[in-house]
This record gives sequence, structure tokens and C-alpha cells, in this order.
Amino acid sequence: MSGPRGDAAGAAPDAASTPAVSGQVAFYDNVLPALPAGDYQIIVQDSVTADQEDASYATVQRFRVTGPNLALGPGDVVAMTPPAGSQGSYDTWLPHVVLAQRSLPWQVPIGPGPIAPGTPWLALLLLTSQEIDVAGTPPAAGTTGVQTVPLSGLLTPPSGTLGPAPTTGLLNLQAEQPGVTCTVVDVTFEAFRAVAPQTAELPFLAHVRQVDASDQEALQVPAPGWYSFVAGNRFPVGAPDNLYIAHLVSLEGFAGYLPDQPAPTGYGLVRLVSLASWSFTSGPDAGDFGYLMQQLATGPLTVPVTPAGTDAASQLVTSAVQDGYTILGYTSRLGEQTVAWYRGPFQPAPVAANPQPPQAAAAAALIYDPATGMFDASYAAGWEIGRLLTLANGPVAVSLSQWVASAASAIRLLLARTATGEPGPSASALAPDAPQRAARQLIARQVVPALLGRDGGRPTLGRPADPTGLRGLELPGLLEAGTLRQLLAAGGDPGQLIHDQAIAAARREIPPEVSPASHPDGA
Amino acid sequence: MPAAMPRHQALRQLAGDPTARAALAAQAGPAPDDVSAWLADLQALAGVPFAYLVPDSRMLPPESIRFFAVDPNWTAALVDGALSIAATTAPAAAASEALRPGALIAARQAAASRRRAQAAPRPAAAADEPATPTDEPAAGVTPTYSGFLLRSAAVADWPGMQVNGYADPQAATLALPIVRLERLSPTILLALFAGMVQRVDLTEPGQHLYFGVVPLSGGLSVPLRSVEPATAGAQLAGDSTVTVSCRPDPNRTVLDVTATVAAVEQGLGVSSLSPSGLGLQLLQPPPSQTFTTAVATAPAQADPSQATP
Repeated sequence: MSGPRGDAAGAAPDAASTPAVSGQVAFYDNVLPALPAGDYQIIVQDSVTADQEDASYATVQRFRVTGPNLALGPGDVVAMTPPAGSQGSYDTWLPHVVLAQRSLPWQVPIGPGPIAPGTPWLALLLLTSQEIDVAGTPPAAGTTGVQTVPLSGLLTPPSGTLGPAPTTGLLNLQAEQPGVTCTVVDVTFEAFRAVAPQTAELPFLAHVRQVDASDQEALQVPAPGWYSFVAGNRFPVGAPDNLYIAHLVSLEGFAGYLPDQPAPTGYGLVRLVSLASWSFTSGPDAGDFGYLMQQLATGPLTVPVTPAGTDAASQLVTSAVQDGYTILGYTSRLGEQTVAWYRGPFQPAPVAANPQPPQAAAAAALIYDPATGMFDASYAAGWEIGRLLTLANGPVAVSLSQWVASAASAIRLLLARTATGEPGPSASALAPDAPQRAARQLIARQVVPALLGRDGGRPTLGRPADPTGLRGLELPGLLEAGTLRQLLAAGGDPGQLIHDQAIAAARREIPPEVSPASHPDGA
Repeated sequence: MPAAMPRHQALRQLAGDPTARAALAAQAGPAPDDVSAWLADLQALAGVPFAYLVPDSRMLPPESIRFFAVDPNWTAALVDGALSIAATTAPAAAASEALRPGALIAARQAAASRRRAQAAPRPAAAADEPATPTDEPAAGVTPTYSGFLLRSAAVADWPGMQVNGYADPQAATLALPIVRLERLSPTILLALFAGMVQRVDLTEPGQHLYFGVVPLSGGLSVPLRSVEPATAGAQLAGDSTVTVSCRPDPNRTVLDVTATVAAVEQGLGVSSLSPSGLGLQLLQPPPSQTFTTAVATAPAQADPSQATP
């Protein structure tokens, strides 16, 4: 942390134009919502002139922008400090909440009546249990004193309890969802007037922070790195039971009752919407972040067991435990209940890579330890969970299977092409001319010997009779057995020779009068 | 005519033939993106149940931090198990074996490009990233990861804790890229770094920096910090402070924001203090804790697996 970066401009920042700097925190006075709460209408007008006739069209779309008047979303509160339920010496801390939406503290106009923009509607009230009232008694231990009431219970509270003045937002809500309930807290009137911020103080108790989110654990927030921050104004000092209860309350409708305004008379309690609440103890025992970090126990990732004995077995167990091993129950394939060594992927000390050919089954990764007569199931367990996780991930399993299947089909092709007689499969069988080559080899090695006989002395083609009367002619397409054998021995292409012979025979048979040289049209 | 080679023998010969492997890999094309991303996830142990990572809860007691090195053989077994799902026939098993080196290289590149994308807005960190790993044969393909497990109430109470790992045990230099930083349970944080981590700094996250004051001779005070844009946050020369006023209520210690703002304005000599300007004054420096890892650089000794015949 090289120091906070201030931004006194206070204008709504733009996430795209102001990247966070690692190790720095940028402060902004506020981020006002792009569209303040209220009623809006979009009017679309269009006039068309066609065929000398004018026509105009108009449509109106009305919509309403509201804030989260009565309740926050589940992920809106990122953190509450001092932490809920914690115990520490927080007497010089102001409590605060970190909110995930950077414009949240400014989304609801506080009302009634106009108020300066940039005045937050959220306030963090730090109270003691004596200052909160739940039906005449302080809140029970472990609770923060919140009550759930219908909206009417907030707008028209029991006599002697001050509720919010009706604002546009609350009246709209009552008209739209009269049955909605809300979480409220009843604070003594005296405590409210003593603790609540004055109108002019409110903007100073909320601001926006931007941090670099890349070296933090990824949090589910709308704009990573952007947070709004609402602080309380009271130090946790002086409560007789050291117990403090913080309430993030809505001040909507309370603009006229804040401590800088004249006090309304005749009230003993104030009913406020409580958006979040927690309690903590501030005493002499420290419990803050720095304290927790200092108290962390460091050590190797091993089972803290030390055998008492000094014999060979104890020494072996000691050394295995130091290497991160533990002993787990193991059911062998024969059903025998026994135990096996196991250690996970996280080792107390670096382990050298020991490259192995791929293991085809979990059993292949089992290691037998002759010294103890036990199996080491570490890698077998890793193999099996890798298989199960991948099977459970459908899209990847399909994708992987298809990828491997395309290579497997190439292997099958390769085997089929080379099965006919090459000494063994080779990659050349996948070459583009491989089928032709394979066919030639098939002819050379199997068909020709079968037809001609092993000794070559029994030429069979066209020999015994001449049923077609072609015997005396030169027959394109047929090769003498001896020619064929010579050709194949020299690695020549019988197809090419047949082709050449056919061309030569055709040339000879073309009559002179249709030869190209004497054609009337010439060439 | 030579006798046809038995099928299993032919498959074995194929698997051992580098030319055949290359031809097969060319035939199958590069690893699909989702497969290489998945293998990269597996190498970072994503999704592996916690009981496989820490088989005994005594290894990670409450309020403790444990450093470790990731066993490359374990992740290799994990990846073999993953690839085995496609090995449904003998040719597919041979194909899977032939494609494995390419898949591991693709997984490594996927992990590296993910880290680069993460570090992109920070040129300083990107410069620390070691050069793209050379594609050595099998031995170098499994990445070197190390990290820590932190089990503490601080994980739950200070979400978004800032984690920085360094390969240098002495100073905050040689920053290591973070491969994975994830809360495995409300109180357990797992961090994995690419490389052998020697030093880790855990810092309270910036968004949680709290407001507070310094007790000073019976009263409360805050140090004055500059609000000028160029020097914002720097403490003023002479360590000047202003007294923080409270409302006149004997039973409650409530900050008088109006009076405090006026005092700070006077102390800084500015006409109007903005809310963020007051925030700078009340800010308390974030606690940070440095841990030097207990992971020794010497390889583990006497491990039963080395006794394998």
C-alpha cells in the first residue's frame, strides 16, 4: 500500500476511464445514480409525409425508478466491520459497512422535501442494548432487536413512536404493494437524537472506494473493485455490558427529525427501517485483522502425530507423517478391509516430477510399499477423482471423447491400411496417396500371386480358350505375367503401364483419314 | 507374404512411434478449448473435494496457515483419470495416449494465457511473469504450483483479503502470479501460485480500511493527510495532527463531524473539505502480515513411493 489516492472532484467516476492502480485506493465523494428515483416518461413522436398526406404518430411509455427502500439484496452488504459477533478492542474505531453497489447510498432521496444532491439515505447507527426497544424490553442476547412489521406499521406506528414522514417513495410503495413487510428497529427517541448524524454531516459519512481487484479473491459484486462505504459516527466506548449493536438504517422520511432540526415532542421511540444489523463486543481483547494474522499458527501440512517409540516402525511412521502421509481405511478389490497410505496433492515439501506413461486404470497408479506391506493409494485416488470429475462435466466429456475419437478413427484406418502386409503400422499410411499405395501392395502381394500362382509358371489369364475371339489382338489392360512381376519388383506402377499401353494401342488404331493432321478444319 | 502383426502389438508400436503420434495429432487437430481449459482447472485442483486435498482435519487446525507444494505426479494422475474417459476401446486408448502430450501443453498454455489476461491491467506484474514455458518433453509439462491454505475467522470477516506471493523470502520482489485464489468454505482460503512461493503477504483489503482515530493525551486525534491530487494521502510534514471533537454528551462518544471537518479544514488550510477528503484523514493504515513459507526447497525424502520396485 503506497498510500491512498484522493479524488476531490466528487464527480461520478467512470469505471472504464479510471482503472485501479495496484496497491492504491481511490476515494470518491459519491456516485450518484445515473437516473435519480422518480417517475419518468419516454415520448416518441414521428410524423410521416407520404402521397401528399401527413400523418403523425406518438406513443408514451411511463416508468418509475425506485431504490431499495425497505430491503437490500442478499449480496449488497459485502462486509460489516467490526465483524459480527467478534470481540476486540475497537474503542478507537468507527463501525462501517462495505456495500457492493457503488451508488447504493445515494439511490433514494431522503425526503420529505428537497435536499442537497449527494446526501446519502443510509446511516449507520451504533447503539447499546439499552437504547433499543423490543416491545418494552431490550433485545434478547444474540439478537439485534429487529422486528418485522407490515408497511402500515412503519407509516402509522403505535402512538408515542415516531415513524418516517410520508415521502413519494414510501407512498408509491404503499399504493403498489400495501401488503409488503419490512424489518424495523425501535430506538429510544433520546438515543436517536443523540446518535443520528445531522443533515450536513451525512455526506461525510459515506463515500466510494475503488481498489485493484486482481490480487483479491473474486467476489460476486456488480463492478469488481468498486465499493460504497458507509461509516458510523460513534465510537464503541462506555456500554456497561461492552455489547454494541449496529444498524444500517434508512433515513427516508426523517429529514425533518434529524438532530439539527427542531425536536418533535411527545415521542419515546423512533421506528426506523433496519437494512442490516449486527452486534459485536468491544472490550480489552483484541480481535482485529492484524491480531488474527499475528495469532495464526504456521507449520507444515502434516498430521500432528508423533509415535512415542524409537523402534524401526515408529521411525518409519514418523518419516511418512513428515512427508505428508496419513493412513486411511482401504477396501481392497478382494473385499479385504485394510488401511492404505494416502497423501493429497498438497505436499509439505516439493516433490520431483516422476514422468510415467499414462496410467490406464486407477489400479495402475496404486503403489505397493514392500517395507510396510501396504498400498499407497494417493495417485490411484487422484486418478479416480480426475475421471469422476470429468465424467460429471458433460460438455467437456463429450468434447474430449470426440477429440480422441477422431484420432482413434485415424488409428483404425491406419491399422486397416497396413494390415495387408507392411511389417508394422506406420504414420505413412495416413498420407493422401496411401489408399492407392495400399491397393497396389495388395495386388502385388496377394492378388497377383494368387492369380499367377506362387511359381509364376501357370499363367491363367486368357490362356485356355479364346471364347471372345480377341486372343490374337493386343488387349489393352492386360499385362503379361512376366512383365507384371518385373514391374512390381522394380516398384513400378502397373496402372500407369496399362494406361500407356492403351494410349499406344489407340494411336495405332486411328485410321489415317481422321488423324488430326489431315482434318479439314486443321489444328 | 509377412504375417499380419497382432492388433495389440500394432497399437503398442504405434503409441511408441513419434512420427505416428505427430500424424495422429495432426489428424485430430489441436485440443478443443474447453478440454484444455478443463485440464488447466484440474491441474489447479479445481473441483477436487476438500477431503482429497486435506485428508485429515488435524492437518489444518482452526486459526492456522499451512504452506505446501503441489505434487506434479498427483496432478498427472488426475489428468490421466480425466483422459481415461475417452479410452473406451483399444484404438481410443492408443489415441488418448498419443494426444496426451499435446493436451498437457495446451492446458499449460490455457493456464498461462488466463494468468496473462488477469495481469493485463498491471504491466508491472506482467513483467514479473516468467517467459512462456518451453515445451520440454513430458517432464516439464506439468506446471510447478505451490501455495497455502488459510483457516481463520479473518477469511470470513474480511472477504477479499489481498494476497501477494513472492519467490524471494527476504523482500517483496519476484512476485508470483496467482493461479487460484478461492474460499473453499466460509473460513478456509486456498491460494495457488505459479512457481515456488517463499513469502506471502496478507493484507486487509483496501475497501475495508476502517475509520478510526488515535488516542492522544486524553483526547482523540487524527494525523493530517494531504488532499491535493498530486500528493493525496501523504502525511503532512511535521506529523501534525488535529483534535477530534465529540458531541457534548457524557454518556455517548459520538463524533462531531461538523466540528471535526472545520478543524481539519483549518489544519490543512483548505476552504472546503470534501467527504472523500475527510475519509483520507480518518483512514487507518491496513494491517499486513508477512509469512515466510516453511516449504523446504529440498525434495521430500523417504517417501514410500520411491520404494516401488
